[in-house]
Amino acid sequence: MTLIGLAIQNLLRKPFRTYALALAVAIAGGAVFSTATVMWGVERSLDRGFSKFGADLLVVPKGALVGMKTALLTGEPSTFYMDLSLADRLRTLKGIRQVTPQLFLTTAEGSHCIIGNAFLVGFDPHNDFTVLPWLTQKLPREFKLTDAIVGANNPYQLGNSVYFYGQYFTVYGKLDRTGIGLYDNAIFIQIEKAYELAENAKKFTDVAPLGFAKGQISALLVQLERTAPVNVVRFSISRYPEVKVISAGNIVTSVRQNLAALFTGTVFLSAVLIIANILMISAIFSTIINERKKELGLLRAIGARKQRIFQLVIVEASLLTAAGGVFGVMLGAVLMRVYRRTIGFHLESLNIPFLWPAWSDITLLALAAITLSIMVGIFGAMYPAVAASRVDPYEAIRAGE
Amino acid sequence: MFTVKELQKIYHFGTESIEALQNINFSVKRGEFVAIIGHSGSGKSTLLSVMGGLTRPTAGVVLIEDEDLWSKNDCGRARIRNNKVGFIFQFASLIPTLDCLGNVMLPCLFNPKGLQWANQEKAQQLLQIVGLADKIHAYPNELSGGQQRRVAIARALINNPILILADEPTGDLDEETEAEVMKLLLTNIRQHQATLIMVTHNLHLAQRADRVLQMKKGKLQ
Repeated sequence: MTLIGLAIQNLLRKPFRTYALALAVAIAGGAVFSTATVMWGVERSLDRGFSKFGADLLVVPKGALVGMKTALLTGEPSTFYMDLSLADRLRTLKGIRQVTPQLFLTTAEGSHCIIGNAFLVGFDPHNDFTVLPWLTQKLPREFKLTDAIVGANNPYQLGNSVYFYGQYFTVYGKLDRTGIGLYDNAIFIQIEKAYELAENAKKFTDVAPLGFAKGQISALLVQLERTAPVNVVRFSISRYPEVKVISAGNIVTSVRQNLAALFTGTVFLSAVLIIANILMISAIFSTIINERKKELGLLRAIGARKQRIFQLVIVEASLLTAAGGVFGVMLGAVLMRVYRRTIGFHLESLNIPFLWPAWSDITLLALAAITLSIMVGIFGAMYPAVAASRVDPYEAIRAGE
Repeated sequence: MFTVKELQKIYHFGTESIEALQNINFSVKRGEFVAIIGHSGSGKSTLLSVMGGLTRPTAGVVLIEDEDLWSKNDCGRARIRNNKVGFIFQFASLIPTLDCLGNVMLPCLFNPKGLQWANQEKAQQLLQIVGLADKIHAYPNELSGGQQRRVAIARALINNPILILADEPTGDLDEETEAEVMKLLLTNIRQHQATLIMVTHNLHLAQRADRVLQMKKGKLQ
């Protein structure tokens, strides 16, 4: 028999009360764990996506500012265009290391494309630094003009054929999941081929023409020299009146704002649940202490120090809330597993990129949620434990005699 | 030797003060059985509680083998209660979630040496001595009042105390069981050369004591 054994036996004395309390803690613990996991997933997506994104600045046509952010996050194309020659002009600016163009176009529904509204991106593989680094699977040969690279959310496999505007493309490669909607949902083709498709589209009478001409692009992705001050380069580019400049950091901030709006309620609810649990544990353990006053007095009489009585109550509450925390984490994990697709879809529909955290991170979050549950027990039982340790032993033993 | 010197206990209720113990002085030798008798409210139980280190006196000294109980901190008093004092209360005061063995071994849980295999053996021996060898794993609700009291006696003896403080230990028992419990208690006290101080209303029981102290309005007569 140990102090922990004694605490367990005390808890099992009234099983319904113990299970009900543990369940209440489990709900709070599960809510904290699930919220933290989803938030961590969004953060991971932002960190991973935008740190490997490679571009420090995005240069887009004036008017396409909001559309471009949406395009990057969800993969919805923007229909504003600018001249490709701007790329050469930007390359001459001080502080700029690389510039690469991208052209966004949607596919048409109907007989000229085999899929509905896919998001096609024309890119220049010769000076690209943002798409190819994500290429994890590819055919064992050079990337050809009639090849396409698909984002992670596309169902196509290497070697599959896809058909756009009367032209077949071979799936040459597939990108790793990035958490950036543009990259995960898009199909990348060479920019020259994109101009060819625009010409093809004009031949089809039942398809609306693509809204750009040869030599037009949707965005320029700019990588700066390592030491170049972002604001200075940004200012230099802003002198071109036809464009707007977005920094990758701005997009992260915008996502974080969306995130804050979405999670404020959830975080608030979790905080309320935790506080309610602390108060509930406190109230119920005060009742428990009252019920067991006589026994506590007896333990003091046979040699228990005040500190041991305090420990006994704290251990009892911690064991209960730890069990609740473990159950809550399991419950949260099962619910997230069941609704994993819905969670991802819901967040992406809110322009919030999302990647499930790594298992090691989920394990850490689970441990943190269980620790928090234990802390709920410790804080909740603190006052009753102090009261229990201060019980006058003889008065308590003789109570009711 | 157990000694009480100029013991005083005053309870304060708002502006009112009640002197529960007034200038109590006495000594008890090792192996002696002392009965304290008196009416309800005479201060017997308060005296027992102060002697056992459970209620702090307003003034005075309690010496257990030259150790001044009330000069110690909570930790020191708890150690003395655990090592040198055995309590037997009016009602059995067993822990309902522990079986007989667990209840008897309970004081060992609070012993600095911790629980040891020897404690379990000793607890089993004590349960055998008090006639409950076949009830080692029975829970308090499966025992009669007399059996519960025997478990409490075994518990009081587990750490070989030199002082046993008993507060109406047979108060709720029938005559036959009372005689049985007293016989058991006295046999063990004599065997271990422990001092027994028993608070009782029962004059018949008090007659069996080596010495009887009578309390009246907080004073020893």
